[in-house]
Amino acid sequence: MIAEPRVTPLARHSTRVVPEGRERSRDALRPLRGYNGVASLSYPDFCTLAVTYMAPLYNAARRLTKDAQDAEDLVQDTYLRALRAYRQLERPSQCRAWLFRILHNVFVDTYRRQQTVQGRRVYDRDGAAEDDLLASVPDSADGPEGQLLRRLSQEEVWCILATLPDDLRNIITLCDFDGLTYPEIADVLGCPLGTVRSRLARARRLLLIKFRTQADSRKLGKENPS
Amino acid sequence: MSPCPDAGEKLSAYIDGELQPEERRSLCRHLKTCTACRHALTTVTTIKEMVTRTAAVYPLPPTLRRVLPLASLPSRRLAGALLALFRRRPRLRRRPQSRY
Repeated sequence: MIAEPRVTPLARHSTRVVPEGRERSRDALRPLRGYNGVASLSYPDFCTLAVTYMAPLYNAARRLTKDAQDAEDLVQDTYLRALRAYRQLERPSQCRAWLFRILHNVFVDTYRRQQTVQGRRVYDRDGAAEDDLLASVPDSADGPEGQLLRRLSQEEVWCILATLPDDLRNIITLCDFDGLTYPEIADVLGCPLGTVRSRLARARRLLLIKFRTQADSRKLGKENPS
Repeated sequence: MSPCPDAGEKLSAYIDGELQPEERRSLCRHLKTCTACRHALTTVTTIKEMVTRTAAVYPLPPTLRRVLPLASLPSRRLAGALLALFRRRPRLRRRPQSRY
């Protein structure tokens, strides 16, 4: 006996009747199309919204690729991918986080693979050395220390930031440079909210240790000019 | 003087404004009595300010800046112009076959 195909809710706007076993693929598309079964924004409205985020996306791309031309290409690829997949955006308020997520995914898929060993930093996710550092040095919170740390130049701070492991540096830049909220960061990086909180705290603690080391070495350098 | 063991994450989330209201109230009550955590809060705030201060703002390059005036177009024309611009724009440099 052949089961009679039934008309699924998604099919009510079309004349196509979905057979019994095929409706699962249609249901899988449902969350991607938004609450009413259609994209949350029309294509022209999405373009108008997406263009407003071009400047922050370019800044993030420059920090990721460390190269102006690569950053342009990365932004171009991000927009091309976003324009093709605009229906996946469930709510307009999520547009910024969604675009940043595409940017990070494109960077990981395309550009990180092309980094060479010579002359450019190889991104590694090995945080073992930093974990040992965090475990060995006790935290200290003296007030005057803040004044000592503030004497570090912006260049020194920037260089120290570059030495952080990838996952910690990404979180710090998304939070403090790009101004994303914790839920947006979790969305961009595809990790739980609790992970964002713990990684941020760990990153800042590690920065404190590195800043303190740098400040101490400057102080020693001034005391012993030779 | 070290802060309380579970205070690190909460202090970091507090300066980012990401604590739930109940967590924030609980932390504020704790900070009134714990000197070590108050100092740790000052230090974490300093770290965040130092990092934020180094944020470089890069101006958009000319090829991408051309897109911005298109935002004033009617939506339908913008959509077509945006896609045409990104599709037509050549890569700025060709990558060599192998860079290893």
